[in-house]
Amino acid sequence: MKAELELKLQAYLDGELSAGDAREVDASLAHDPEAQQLLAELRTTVGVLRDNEPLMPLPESRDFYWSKIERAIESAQPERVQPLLAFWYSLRRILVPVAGVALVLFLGIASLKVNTVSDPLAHLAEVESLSEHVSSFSFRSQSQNMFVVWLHENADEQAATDSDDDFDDAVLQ
Amino acid sequence: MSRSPFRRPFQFAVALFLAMFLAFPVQAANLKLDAKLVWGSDEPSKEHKPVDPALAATLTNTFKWKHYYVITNVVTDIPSRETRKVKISEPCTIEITELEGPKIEVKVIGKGKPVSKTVKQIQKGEVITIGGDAENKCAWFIVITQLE
Repeated sequence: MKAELELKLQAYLDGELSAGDAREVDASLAHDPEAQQLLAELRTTVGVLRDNEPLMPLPESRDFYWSKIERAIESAQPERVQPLLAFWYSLRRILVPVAGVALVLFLGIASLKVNTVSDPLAHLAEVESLSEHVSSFSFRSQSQNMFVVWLHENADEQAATDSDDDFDDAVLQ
Repeated sequence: MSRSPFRRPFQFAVALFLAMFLAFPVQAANLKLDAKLVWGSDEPSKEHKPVDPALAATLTNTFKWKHYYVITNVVTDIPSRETRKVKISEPCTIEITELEGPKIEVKVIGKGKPVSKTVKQIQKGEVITIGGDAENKCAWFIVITQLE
């Protein structure tokens, strides 16, 4: 049997064929036992499905059913939190950002301290005379925040020569 | 999965910490120094420019001379671990080297001959002065301060 005829038989059974097509199917059924058998099977299947479809009637109307759910949602009370737990939650809400800011400040100040830490030996200096004719002494004025190196010609050298090599006078010339 | 409430402040703190550590190399950048040759005298002079009042006060409070005048003023940038020669007068040059610490080494060279060497940790606001007697009961000073 052709697939086209099978489809037409289904449509015939459902009453969806035009009058012309229905007459054509009637003619085919008259001399085609296979088509007759298929039609009988289809009729049986439709009948079984129609008679045995389970029905689940709602106890109330659809609108009433959903309105009940909506009312239940609206009237739902938030879960009560224990007072101690609630206090902890509110405290945590404050403590977390405060702790974060404190940590940042601590790290910032610590880093600045690292960067600007004053070396207790910072005032120490090495002063070296590179000429045998020149001596030096140094001191630090704490009040003026000044470190001073004072250069002077050695006394015996100075007495011996009033030479052109007098460094002290030469600097300003 | 819930996120830890400490996560964001912690991330911020870590980022800040890293940023501060990354700032360390910036500190090791050029050392900007101001070097002045100053003449100290008991006699006033109209020919020379007096030092600024702050330095004048510092020098007056430390030394015996009444008047201090700027003869030369040189600002120099010294890259890390490098040396710069600064000519402060015809016969006198100073060689300043930036050292680890940060320290500076100041070598005074008079008439081409090294006279003294000073190695000192320099701090902002501190004044390093190398001086000596000059004729007519005057004095000379090489005043070094850190600008940056």
